[in-house]
Amino acid sequence: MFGKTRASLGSLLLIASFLFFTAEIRPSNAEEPCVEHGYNGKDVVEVPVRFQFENPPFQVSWVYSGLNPKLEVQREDYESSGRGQRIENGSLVSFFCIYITPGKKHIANFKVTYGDRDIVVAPRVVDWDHKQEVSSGMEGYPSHSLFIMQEISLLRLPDPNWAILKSATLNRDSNGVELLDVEVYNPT
Amino acid sequence: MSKSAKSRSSSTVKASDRKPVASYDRSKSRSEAAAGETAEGNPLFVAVLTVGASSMAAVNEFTNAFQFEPFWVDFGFAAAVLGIALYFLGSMFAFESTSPASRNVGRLGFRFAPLRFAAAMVLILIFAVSIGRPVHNALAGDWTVCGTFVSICGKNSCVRLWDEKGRKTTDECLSLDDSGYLPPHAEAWWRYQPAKVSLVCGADERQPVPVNETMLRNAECSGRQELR
Repeated sequence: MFGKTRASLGSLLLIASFLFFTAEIRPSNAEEPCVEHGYNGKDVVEVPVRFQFENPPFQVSWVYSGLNPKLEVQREDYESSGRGQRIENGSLVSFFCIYITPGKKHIANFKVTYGDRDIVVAPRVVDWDHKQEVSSGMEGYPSHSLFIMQEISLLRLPDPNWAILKSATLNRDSNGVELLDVEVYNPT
Repeated sequence: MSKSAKSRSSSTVKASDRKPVASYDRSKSRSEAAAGETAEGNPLFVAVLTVGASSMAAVNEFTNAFQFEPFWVDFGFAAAVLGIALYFLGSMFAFESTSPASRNVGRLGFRFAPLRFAAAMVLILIFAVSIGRPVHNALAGDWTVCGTFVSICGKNSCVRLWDEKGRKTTDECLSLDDSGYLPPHAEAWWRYQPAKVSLVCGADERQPVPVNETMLRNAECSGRQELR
């Protein structure tokens, strides 16, 4: 099942760099508010999403690293961005920020994408009465309101059906030629 | 007024006085027959029991045929049982006229009939048991169900809700999103709070299982239940 592919530097270096960049699991802090700039005076709703494959062999960091989760809101007046993720008890917990017009207390269904898998989910309960005033941390940007949505659980998910980059190592041989060792796992 | 006219008038009064007396006698004999010592073997008693039982069955069939809510079915059943119990109790009381001049003057008589009394007590017990659930549900007020039903079903799944007796508490199959989440679904006090839930996965409907308390009346919808 495990296949090792040896490739020369060229284009694979570029691909590997891209994969490592996207696969980074950034340390996350649930208490940290969504303070990305560019919210343009909008309120922010923090959306935690828990993702877990059903089979334990896939509940590992190198599988989760390649999922590159995204959240896509289907309404034009919302924006969203990923904020961070962590692995917790065999599941991947990702955080997204949805920026909404102040006073608007309704969020439509949205789509989350993990790897090659699209999942349409209904918004969870948001306690609109409990808001936190959050400083933008930047001069000239006013503080904004932060709301927290109940965690979305995507559990007992079927095995991934796409090739997963397990590792990539850049080596240099005795002649000074750079070689990229890429280990790809094909679960299908 | 002439003497002959007075005489005619007097005889008319006497004639009219006789009729109520005869009527009183007949009603008294009916009352005795109904509430007498032989009540247990009385065909009327058996007939009332039969009519009562068949009425309850008919009410049940009627409410099922017209898809009445289980709450109202139980409530109607309890009311019918109470009505029959009251009939049995009431039949032990009889109005007895004490004035030969008027049938409307008299007192309320009571004759104890053991079998009727026992039947009434049993029916009251059935009433107390059957009215318990509707009353409890009504006192609890409106309710909501929501949360995440974890299964391997994935897309196009829904859940059905059932009461303790295996009757649907809602007509519709409540749609889950791709993650198995059921958005808040509110129901009125006259719909039974569900005791069981079953997953419908495409064309396949699973066996109902007890619903977790965390899925009910949870304003945050943070409950989670595994459904196989």
